[in-house]
Amino acid sequence: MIRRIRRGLALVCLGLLAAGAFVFGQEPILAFSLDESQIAVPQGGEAVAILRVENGSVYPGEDLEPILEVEGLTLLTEPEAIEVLAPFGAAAITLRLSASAELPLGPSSQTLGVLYTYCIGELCYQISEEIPFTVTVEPPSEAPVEVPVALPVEPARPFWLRLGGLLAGLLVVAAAIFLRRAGRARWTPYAVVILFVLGGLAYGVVLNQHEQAQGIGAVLCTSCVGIEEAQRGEPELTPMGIATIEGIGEEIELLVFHAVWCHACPYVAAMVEEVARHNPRIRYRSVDVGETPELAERSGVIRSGRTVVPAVLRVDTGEIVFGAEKLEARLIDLLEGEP
Amino acid sequence: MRLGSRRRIAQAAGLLLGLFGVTGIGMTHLIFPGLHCYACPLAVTVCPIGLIQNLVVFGTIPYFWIGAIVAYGLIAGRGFCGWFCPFGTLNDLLAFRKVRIRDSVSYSKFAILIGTLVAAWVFADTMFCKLCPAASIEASIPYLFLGVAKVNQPFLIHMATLGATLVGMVLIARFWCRYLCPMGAILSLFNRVSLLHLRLAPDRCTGCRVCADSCPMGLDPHIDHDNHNCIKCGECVEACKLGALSLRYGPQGKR
Repeated sequence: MIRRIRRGLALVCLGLLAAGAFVFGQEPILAFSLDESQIAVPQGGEAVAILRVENGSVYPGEDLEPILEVEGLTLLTEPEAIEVLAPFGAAAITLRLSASAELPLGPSSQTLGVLYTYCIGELCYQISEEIPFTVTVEPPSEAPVEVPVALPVEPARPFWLRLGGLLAGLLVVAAAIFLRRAGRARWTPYAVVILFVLGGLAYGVVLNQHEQAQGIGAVLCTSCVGIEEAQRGEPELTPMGIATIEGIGEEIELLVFHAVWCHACPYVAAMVEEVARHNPRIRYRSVDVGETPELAERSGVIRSGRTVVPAVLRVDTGEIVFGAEKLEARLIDLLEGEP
Repeated sequence: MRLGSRRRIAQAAGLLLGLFGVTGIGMTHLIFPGLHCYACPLAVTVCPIGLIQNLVVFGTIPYFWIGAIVAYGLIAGRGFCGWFCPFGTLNDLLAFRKVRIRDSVSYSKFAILIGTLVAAWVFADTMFCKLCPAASIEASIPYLFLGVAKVNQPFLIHMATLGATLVGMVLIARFWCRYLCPMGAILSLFNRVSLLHLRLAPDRCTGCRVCADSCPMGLDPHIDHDNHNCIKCGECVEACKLGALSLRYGPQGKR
């Protein structure tokens, strides 16, 4: 009888783990979704859409800025744009779209960009996300625009619920180990632990955590493993450096390669931004190696099989500067190099 | 084949997996069942300690990591330290002095583990990696020769921790595994349920302590055969001529 109960318990645990894998979920840092993936807008008129955002992390998201770069379609800035989204918080932004009278009729696929800042302690990263949607341009209408009410939203799967599920699972494993140590049970506790392992791995894969692990391993962040010192704070150019940068006469494009978990990358990105601020001929673009590994590979931001970040590539010469140490001098060398 | 020879082959396999990047396959999704730096130019696996620090920094509930670690705990527990971990193998090669120190001192590795996680949270950085002697050997030194690293302050800190650890290993067998390894601390939690385990036949044991003298971890296998620190290396099994100790694979019975 006791054996049957134990087997039953093991099956219940299996069921709970399997169900848990699909019930609870983990989103990227900030998850965005539009209430309507198809937005109808009249020629020369306006339409309104609700953008929902959920913070699935322990740190706040800041300065959320929706960006729409579509000819003939303008995003009217809303006063309620989010300045700070608390950890595990959720919110909704009302987007007001204005279409020009020349916009051709019919549906078209567009992308809404969202720029936001994500800070871990004193380190901040600027992250951009893209949300695809369809715009259907309709004949001009006289009817007034209906503005839906963006009700405050609660996170669908709060952090404590997910953490609670994991702790409950660990408790089951601890109970299984206790059963084994109590003596009579031999295989049932092992079966429970095996089910926990399979559940954990399966759920991790569902959440793409295996890719996250691979991504962390595949990219060498020079400051993370102590190959160079992490540079923090505001980067400052010396007066001589500024004079040299201002004297550069040619058009130069730089690619700044970074990874989300790279601690030296924000410093390098800020330094390149500072350089570009002093000379409008110098343009730069940020590249997240996790999102576009093939571009990193094509650009040669790889040393000994590892994508190394931070890295700054001068596009026309193919020259690369790795790391953040003595960056000003090395960036100037990079900029002064012959194309 | 002798148990010692089998273990050397398994350790060679661990080293091979650690350096499998020589084939050019690149990083995989596999979490290494030991301490092996993912920044190593030839690594194809992810360091469990480096990964968990990153996950702590990002506030990720580490389901995949926990699944893999519990699996390793179940498969062999600290057997991975004795049979597979490349840094454990280095400890093995320098295990000249099998000294005995109070068992309670070995809990220091749990302090290192907790400190590693707390530091990751507080500083939002992989602080342990900046001190890790495995990273010193597997990342700092190779990257110095590859021209990515320089002799700077982080490099010298790495060399200092490596030097101190090597001295510790020479003075106390398996010094790193006994007192400092956070991965060893995690695996030790599973030692008493792991499928690879040491079995004692009490009717054959005369209490001669030859097993205790041979143990690189400074344990008493004839008294406490499923100690949380046992790396299941089998040195005691080979030392006991009466066959009182054996390494088994399967569910452990009543203690």
